[in-house]
Amino acid sequence: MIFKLAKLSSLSVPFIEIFLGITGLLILFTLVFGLWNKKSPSPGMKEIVVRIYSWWIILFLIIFVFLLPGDFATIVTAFFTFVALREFLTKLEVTKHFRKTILYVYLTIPLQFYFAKYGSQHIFNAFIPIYMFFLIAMRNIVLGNYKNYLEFNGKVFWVLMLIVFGFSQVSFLRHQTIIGGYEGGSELLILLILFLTQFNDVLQFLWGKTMGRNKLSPNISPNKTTEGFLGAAFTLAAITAGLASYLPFASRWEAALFGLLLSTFGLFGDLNMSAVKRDLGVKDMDDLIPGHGGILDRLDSISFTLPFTVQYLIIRGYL
Amino acid sequence: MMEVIGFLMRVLLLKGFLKPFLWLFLGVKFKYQEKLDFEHGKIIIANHNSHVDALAILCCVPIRFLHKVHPVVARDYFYKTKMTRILAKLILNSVSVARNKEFKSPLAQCEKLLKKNHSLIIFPEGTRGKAGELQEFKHGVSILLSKYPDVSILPVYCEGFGDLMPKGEWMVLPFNSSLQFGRSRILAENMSVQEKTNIMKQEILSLAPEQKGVQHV
Repeated sequence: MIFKLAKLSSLSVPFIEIFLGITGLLILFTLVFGLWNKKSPSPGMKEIVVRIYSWWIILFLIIFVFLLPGDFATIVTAFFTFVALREFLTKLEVTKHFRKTILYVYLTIPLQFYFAKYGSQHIFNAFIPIYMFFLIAMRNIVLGNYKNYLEFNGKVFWVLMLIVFGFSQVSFLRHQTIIGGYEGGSELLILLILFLTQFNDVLQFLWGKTMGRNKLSPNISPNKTTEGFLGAAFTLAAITAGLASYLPFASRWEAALFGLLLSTFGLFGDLNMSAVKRDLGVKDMDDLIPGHGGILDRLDSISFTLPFTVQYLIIRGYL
Repeated sequence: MMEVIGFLMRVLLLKGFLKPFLWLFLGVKFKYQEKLDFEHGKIIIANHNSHVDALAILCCVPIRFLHKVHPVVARDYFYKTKMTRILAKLILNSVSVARNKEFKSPLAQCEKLLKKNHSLIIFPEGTRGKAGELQEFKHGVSILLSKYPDVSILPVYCEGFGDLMPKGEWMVLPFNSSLQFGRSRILAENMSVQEKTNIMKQEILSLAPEQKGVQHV
């Protein structure tokens, strides 16, 4: 049956296998955590249930995007990036100054996604960090005002890196990743990274809930514990080692190392968005989906694990 | 004939283009507390921060009432040139009031429409103010209400529209914002003009979302 599905959808057999596995796991999780939340509700538990719901949405989106042909995936990803950027810029008071520069900040998105699909690896990796670095400053100078200059440049550039550079990695993976001897294809790699990142969040919660003693970062996020992080990191390493044949790495050991690093970056991504929200003094970045916050509330860990994955593949010479 | 063409153009523009554009691209969220109904004459009152305000409110009016809702625009601003005049007439379906003392009864056109059971969109501030600040309200709406006591008011709060397109700027940029419709109510007849104006101000402010919590300026 799997082979029939694969033929129908032009997706690889490993992709279908992993996809079915994730769907099964999600059904299990929805039942288990849904019941757990009903029996003994707690804020952390509710967070996990919300996270599981957002998995379902992400899973459906992935399938939707991968099954539809052509540039559809890129356009949808670019649009979600745009919504996320809009969400963040709305929260920055400094955008009232140098308003005209914001136009160029938004225009970064179509360009960056164009480079993700058609550009060279160099222009894709350099456009925002280097070109936009100078362009924002130059545009502001042309506007001829120095008030809040440094604050604007710093914040807006940082947001561009976090959101546009970060999320465009998924399109880069989709369109420009040909890894020799890896039969899963870029679809499988994206699916696994998104899934492993989200799974890592749940693992951190579970380990923290059962073994957690020492708070990892009491000021930024009181829910995170050292035990939760270590437990999740090693569990994820074990999982990636087990899934080594579905990952593009040379050895099982490297897959395990990748899992360990992925877990670490996921944690930092999560804490990063928490720190941002605390600094801004907001609970959620938006109220796009009532009760679930905005896009950035859901894509916190991923904003770090995606760039990490691409950079890792480049550094190790897979790309 | 002209009217039919104008109406079709408005439907196409407002429902087909502008509303999706506002929602998807500019990031405007439309929120309602009740179903919009303009069977009887109503005066929609809202805070005024940008030109987007009136257009966004018009986008939300159901098609079957679209011909009955008229934004009230300033004669000296919109009727200055033939071009803006035609645009204001055709797209906004607007009526004008004079802000100076040019005419004896500046609200005559508005009264005519209220008599016909039509509805008006009025920005009681009289002009576009700074984002997030409510200016002193003019008394025009209260005077109209005293003459037509069975006309109800529908308060609307435009949040963040001043960031989309501030006064004096022509570049529209996307920022998350929202358009919050309140509940329509009829004000008691025996209230004074000043009381009515105060109540309207309260009604609009009560729709404003909680302080966004942006600490950093």
